[in-house]
Amino acid sequence: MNINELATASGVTTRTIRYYVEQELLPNPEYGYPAQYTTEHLQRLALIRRLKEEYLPLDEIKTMLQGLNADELAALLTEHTANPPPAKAATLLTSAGDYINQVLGRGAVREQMKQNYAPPTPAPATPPATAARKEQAAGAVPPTLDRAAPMPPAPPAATAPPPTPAAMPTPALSAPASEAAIPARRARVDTPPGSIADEGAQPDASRAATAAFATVRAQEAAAAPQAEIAPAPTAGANDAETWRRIVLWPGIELHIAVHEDRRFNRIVARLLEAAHRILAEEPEKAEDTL
Amino acid sequence: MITWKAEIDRRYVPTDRASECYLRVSIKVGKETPRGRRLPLTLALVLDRSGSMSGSKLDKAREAAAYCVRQLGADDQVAVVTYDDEVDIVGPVHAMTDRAKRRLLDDIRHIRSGGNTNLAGGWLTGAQEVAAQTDGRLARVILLTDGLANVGMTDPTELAHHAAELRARGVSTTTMGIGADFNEDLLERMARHGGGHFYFIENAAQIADMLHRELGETLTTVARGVTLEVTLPPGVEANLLNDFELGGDRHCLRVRLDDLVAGESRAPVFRLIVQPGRDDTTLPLTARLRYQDVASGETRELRDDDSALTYATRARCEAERPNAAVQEEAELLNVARARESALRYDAAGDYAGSAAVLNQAAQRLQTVAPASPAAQAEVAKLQAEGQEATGGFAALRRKALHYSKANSLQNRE
Repeated sequence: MNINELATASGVTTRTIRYYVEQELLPNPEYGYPAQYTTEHLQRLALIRRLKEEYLPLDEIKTMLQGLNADELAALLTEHTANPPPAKAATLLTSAGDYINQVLGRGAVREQMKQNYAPPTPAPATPPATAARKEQAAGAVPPTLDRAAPMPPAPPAATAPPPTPAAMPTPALSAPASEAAIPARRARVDTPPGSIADEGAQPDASRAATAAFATVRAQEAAAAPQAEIAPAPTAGANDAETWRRIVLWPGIELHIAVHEDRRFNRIVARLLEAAHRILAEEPEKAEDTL
Repeated sequence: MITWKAEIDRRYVPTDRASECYLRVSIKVGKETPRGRRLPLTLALVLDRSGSMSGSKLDKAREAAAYCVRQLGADDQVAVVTYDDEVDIVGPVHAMTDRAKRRLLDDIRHIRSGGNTNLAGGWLTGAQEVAAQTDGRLARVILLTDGLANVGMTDPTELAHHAAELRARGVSTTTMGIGADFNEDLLERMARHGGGHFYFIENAAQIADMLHRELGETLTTVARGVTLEVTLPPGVEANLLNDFELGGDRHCLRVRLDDLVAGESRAPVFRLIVQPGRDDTTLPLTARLRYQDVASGETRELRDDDSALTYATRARCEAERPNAAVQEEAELLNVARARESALRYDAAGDYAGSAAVLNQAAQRLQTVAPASPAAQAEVAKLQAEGQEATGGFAALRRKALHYSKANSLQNRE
């Protein structure tokens, strides 16, 4: 079949098909005019689609599909066409344990801290964070913390007539409205892909920080005021080029390299302390200053 | 045993203009629990022990936790985690052998109240405990709190995201909010995205009831990963009125209903928008229901091809008597959306807006279902809420309304 027929049969656009070929998710078509695609292409496309629905990133799908023969492909397709039960789906993603490790510790940084200070950990039943690191390196980092910039409460909608029940604003739709109303006050941070649509939440940024294991808390407090820090979701926490972004105020951010050096961390802590002291002098509602 | 049926409120749609109708897919699970085996359970009980929990709330929470532990067998596993500003693993995840039970019950008795509320840390630590136990088991975290998350991660959007990610990895989250001070938006969203349930507990005496209910439900899971797929013909678009997770695309909508327990029912309702078309042509709709049957472990797929719409003259459309039950159900979902909207106005301080939304919803429901006693009761309730809204809702009432709308949108009672 030619590319148009393949597109029709698979429900995937020709552009996407070409992109997949280019990205080596699909084998090259057979030469000819027009180029010919086979049922294997069709199967692969169906499988890619299913896997995408399971939120697998393309490079992981690519790895999965590499070197599969027709039988294996068909088997995998059957498995994924039947709605996979949660347990089965889980084997395709990072494990729940690794995921939590990543969220709790932002992976390597926290692991590193634990090792440095060697506190008696209660050792929660989880595998080591190596897989989490690997995923970070691949750039597949969960979305996060730093979008929690301070936002004003939803503006009163007094001027607008209330919507009729037929046209109730869905939560997802109401967010842009509040954004439009007060553009200057909102520190815009790009929403990472895959995150849930903001449902009109008004997070408190100064507190939107990483959760920690109780046992490392005290040590962390000595190293840096972790509770006030939102680590940036950047890749590869174990290389020196990892930066943390701390939103101090709408429009004011501090970027700090993740460092193990105690002196460095002490300086950062003092800097943050000073910043918070200055900012705390500002009244909470400061529309007039903007 | 699952029975289901797809119904559209009308058979005919006009040829000369776009029209709207409703499709309801009612899914019912039989009362009998699966014979043979139930899913072994891995449960993390995460208890808030912040200062505000001290006294009867923590007492009741301890009692309820002890009840859970006693209910479970050696195949099940339980972890108990408490948090204030720090997180403690009271009992790491362990099979509930008699000996382990005795030890855990003893540890539960010694839980004492403390400081602030590191909700995220407690929750994630609980999830961590059950994380390794997702294969062929039901891994669930039950979070019980009376306060706002004020230490650690606190952003509802972020926490809901993590809850969804964990659910995709086999760990589900149920949340229980006690009293007037918790963040219902946060807890409801964590549970909704987390594939568990949200409970509003007005006073401590109800903690045990709710936990019994949750545990009972979890133990009688009949079908897992329940998914409804609706395929639409060209010229028809659909919006889901309920709060179920929606996937797929415009032509084939996929609704995730997750795990269903004995006696439970779900009825997703779609608003169909139908473009004009040629007289007498038929628009077929296909519904598919997929799930994993717990008793047999098999994946089942049911298919329904009986629903269809037919283009007809306007006169014929107007002569048709629509299905009142489907219309009423759709309108009740609109009412829940109205409550959601009213709460948002209320939170923003626009009490007049809040009242107007509720009154409008009452009027509409009155028009749609003038003869239904259930709808009439709801109309009266809405009118009373509309009155109340003009002065702003008290904290407990806000929670009750939030709970009520969340339950309606997810077909829970």
